[in-house]
Order: sequence, then structure tokens, then C-alpha cells
Amino acid sequence: MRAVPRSVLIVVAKTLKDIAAEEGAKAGGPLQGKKKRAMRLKAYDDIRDTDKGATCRIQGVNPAGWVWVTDGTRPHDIRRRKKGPMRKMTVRHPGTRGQQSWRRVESRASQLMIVAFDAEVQKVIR
Amino acid sequence: MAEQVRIDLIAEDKASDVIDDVADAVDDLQRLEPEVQVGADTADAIHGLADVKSEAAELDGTDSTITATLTNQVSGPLADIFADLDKLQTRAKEAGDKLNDVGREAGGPSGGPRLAGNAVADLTGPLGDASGAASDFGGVMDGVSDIAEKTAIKLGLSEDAAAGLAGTLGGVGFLIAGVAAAWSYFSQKSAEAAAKQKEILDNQRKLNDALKTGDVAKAAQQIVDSYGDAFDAADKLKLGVDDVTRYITGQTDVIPGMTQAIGWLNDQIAANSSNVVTLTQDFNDNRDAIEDARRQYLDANGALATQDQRLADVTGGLDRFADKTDDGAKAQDRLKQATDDSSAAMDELRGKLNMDQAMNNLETSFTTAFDNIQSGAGNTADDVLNIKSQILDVAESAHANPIEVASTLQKVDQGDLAGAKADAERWYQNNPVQLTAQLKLLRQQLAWVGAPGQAITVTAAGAPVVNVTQYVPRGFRGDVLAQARAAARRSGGLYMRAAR
Repeated sequence: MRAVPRSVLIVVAKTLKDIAAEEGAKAGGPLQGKKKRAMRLKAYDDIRDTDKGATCRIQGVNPAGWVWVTDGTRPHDIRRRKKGPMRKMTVRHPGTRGQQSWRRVESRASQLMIVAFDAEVQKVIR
Repeated sequence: MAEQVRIDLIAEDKASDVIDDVADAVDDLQRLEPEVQVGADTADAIHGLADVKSEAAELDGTDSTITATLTNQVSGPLADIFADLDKLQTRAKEAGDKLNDVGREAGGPSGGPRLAGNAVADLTGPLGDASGAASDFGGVMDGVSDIAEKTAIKLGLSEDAAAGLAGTLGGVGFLIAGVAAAWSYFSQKSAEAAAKQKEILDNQRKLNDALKTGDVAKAAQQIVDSYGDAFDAADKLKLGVDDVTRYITGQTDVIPGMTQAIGWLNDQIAANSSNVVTLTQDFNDNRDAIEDARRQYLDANGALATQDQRLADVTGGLDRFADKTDDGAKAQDRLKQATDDSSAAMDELRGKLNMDQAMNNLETSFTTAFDNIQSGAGNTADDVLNIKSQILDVAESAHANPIEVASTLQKVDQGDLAGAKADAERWYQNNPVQLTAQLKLLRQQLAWVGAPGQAITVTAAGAPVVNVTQYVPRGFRGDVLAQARAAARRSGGLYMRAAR
């Protein structure tokens, strides 16, 4: 019984990482980061034991990318994308509308937790 | 500030505390050793025990030996059964004798069998298993001598023997019984041989696998299990296990200890001269067992190699087939992609063509309208309606914003033909389907294109004159016109300025 929290969190963490990767791809990932590097939207987990059970933190990476696709961006200036002497000029980007991607991950996580805990406890009781 | 992109999950186990408390309480209970005092009258129980004790004493004094006498006399139903068995044995012998006569000339010295067709069912004993098949077979072939003859030949009988069989078709039933019995026996032996062959191959495959993986103990066990008879024989011949193993597995072609074994045999013969034949026979039998094991080993390895080769051939064939299938699928994908690309390109061209056509019509109308204005003739209501209709055509092809279109039509009503023309040109220029089209109107009306290093003046004819000055770097070799147009667009739009 004492092993239930950790084992459940391992299962949940794996699934949530898959969900995050799926939602990230759906939101347009990989985004283009600095120096045009691919910025994949995924998540990593950090499971720690405590006196009374275990804790798990699912952190979305890259955080900036997740914020953009979740809440959108305000209008801002960006560099021109063309090469040449006019490269340093800026243009006005109108901003983007958020797609609530991370909130969808949270919503799916809350449903998943209940199902996973029920299944694991049933296994122990049986 | 945006919220954190993280989910914190906390799982606490509160049930274990409760369960631990219960478990501790159970432990405490188990450690207790409670004493329970029970008050009861045991007088009846003591009496009962005394009775049991006395009866046990009586039994102890009796003779418990059971005498059973078996007699060798048989009578009654058992005697009948024995008599039937004797009869059965006799008939079996007769059937065997008559089978031996099959193939002889009918009416020859031995007389040959002349049994009726229904005599098949009487066959018992060694042919008992075949009698069912014989009946079925006989039902089909009864009276068909030529078929019987062919069948006999197929079963391996010589033509003479088959002809003899056909000649005995007066007693066709027995003939068919004989053929059917042979058939049944042949099938049974074939199945046994196939099973034995499969067993040998399986054992050999296990042995080879064990050798491949270096599992010496398993390999040794496997070889002992497979060729136990050979090792028993070697033991009788006083041959070493190692020598026999190497001989069986083909590592040597002679058994090193065989000379010593022959010497031992000669010693035995000398010591037991009266049993020379028996000893020699035993020696040969045991040596044959080892030879059989060696041949079996080599045959099995050869069969395995053939099987492996066939498997490799089949696998290779399947792989090649899969490759061909993959290639076909890829080719189909490429074809589909090419078709899609072609369709998209055609759609794009069609859109561009429509756009160009609409723009040409509008250009003609505007030219006419400007000529009319310059000549002082003015434009009729039909001319204005025509221009409006063509503006709508261009706007539709360019997917222009309806609010902008309404504004442009209003300009036409107000007589601002230059402004309307500038709007149409902007739609044409920003049109998503227009990739390589040149701005014909602008090109026709531009008076001059400057040389590199000089100021370029772009003038929209018919519109209020607006000069846009753009300096290109010295030595610039690019498209000066495109550079000027792009610069104008960056600075707010050439035609936007013209419309102000």
C-alpha cells in the first residue's frame, strides 16, 4: 500500500509526458526558437518521495513556447526575416491568439489521475 | 505574468497508517496466550475409553491371517472365452497363410485363395486393424480387376504378382483384403517413420543450438539422450565415451579404442571358446548400434542444413517480394504527390489567369475613361457601370475585403477614378495567387527606370503625382524596379500614398 503513490505517479507521469508532447505538436510545435533552433514542446517529470507518499512535478519545456501557445503573444516588433542590408529593420508582428494548450494538458491530467489511482488501488486490494 | 507551466501532483498514503494500526493490534492479540477453563462431566467419556480398550484387547488375541487359495482350473464362461481365443488364433494363422499365397497363379500348385468378397470381414488377428479399411476398400473395388492390378503395382508388387492378383479375382474379396491390409500397414509405418525422423531432427536441432551457445552441459545431455543406445553398446564393448562421442559427431573417422575393444573381444573368445559365435554376434550388434548413431547424426545434420537453406531461400524470396511491394507503394505515393502538386499548380494558374483577365479588362476601361476625360467627352453612366463591374471582378479574384471594395466603388461614384484604379492595382499586387505576374499598368506608365546609384522616381500616371525617392547602393546589380517597389511598400505603400 505504501508503494501505491509512487507507482501511480510513475504511470501518470509517463502518460502526461505523452499527452504534453501530443498537445505540443498539435499547437504547432516544434516552434522556431533562437537562431532558428527547433523548440519542441514537451514535458519532463520529477518524482520525489515524501514521508506520507510521493510528489510529482510535470514541468512543460520549453516554458516560453508553452506560454506562447497557451496564452498567445501581444503585438511586438520583430526583425525582418529577409537577409541583406535591411535585415536590422523591424516590422510589427500583430501577436497571436493563445490555444490554451497547457490548460488542455492540465484538464486531461486531472481526469487521468483519478482513473490511475483507482486502478492501482484495485490492484493492491485484489 | 503568465502562470507556471507545470502540474504538481501529490499522492499521500493515509490508508497504510490505519492498516498498520490494525496489524499491530492483531500482533498483540497473537502474542497473548489466554487460558480458558472449561468445566465438564467426563465420566461417560472415561467409560467409553474403557470399552474401546477392552475391545482392542480382544482383537489383539485373534488370528488375523487371511488365507487365499488359487486354483488353476478354469470352468464356465472363462473356459468359453479361452476356447474363443484359441479359435481366433487359429483363424489368424489361416489368414496369414492365405496372405502368403497372394500372387501365386490362380489354380496353381497351391490352389490360390478363392474367398468370397464378404470373407473380408472375417479377417481378424494381425489383420484386425485393417479389416475396416478392407471392407470399405472392398466395397469400392469389388469386381474391378484392372483397378486392383494397378493398385497392386502402385503398392510395390511386381507386374507378375499383380497379374496373379488379378487372376484371383474369383475370390476378389480376399485379394482386396490383402491390398487393403498392405495399404494400412504401409500408411502406419510411413507415419511412424515420419515421426521418428521428426524426433531425430528436433533432437539434433537442440544439440546444435546448445553447441552454438556454448552450453556444454546441455549439449552433453542432449547427445546422451539422443544416442543412448549407442553409448550403451559402447559400454558393452568397453569403449570410452569420449571416443564414441567424437566418432559420432564426425570429429574422427575411426574409434581410437576399437583396436583395444577387438583385443578385449579376442580375449573373451579365447576364454569362452564355446560361445565364440555368440560373442562375435554381440560385438557386431553393438558396433552396428554405434555405426547407426553416427549415420543418424550425419543424416540429421544434412537434413537440417537442407531445411535451413530452404528456409533462407524462402525468407530471401519474401524479403525481395516485400522490397518490391515497398517500391511499388513508394512509386504510388510519388505519383499521387505529383498529381496533387500538378492539380494545385493548375488551380493556381487558373486563378492567376482569371485575375489577369479581369485586370486587363479593367485596364482597358480605365484607359478609355481617362481618354474620355482628357478629350472632354466625359464618361457615360454605362462606362461607370462597366468600370464598377470590372472592379468587382478583380476584387472577387483577389479575395479583397468587401468593405474596401465598397469604398472603392464609392470613389468611382465620386469621380476619383485614379483612387479606384490604385485600389485595384493594390489588390492585384497583394493577390495570393499572383506569384510572378508583373504589374502591367505600372510598367506601361513608368516613364523611366534610373541607372544604379541614381534616384528613381516612380510616377503613377493619371493619379496625383507622388514621388518616392529610393537610393540603391553603389554597384547594385539587382532588379532596380523591384527594389524601388519593395522600398515603396515598406515605407507605407506606393499606392496607399497615391490614394491620399
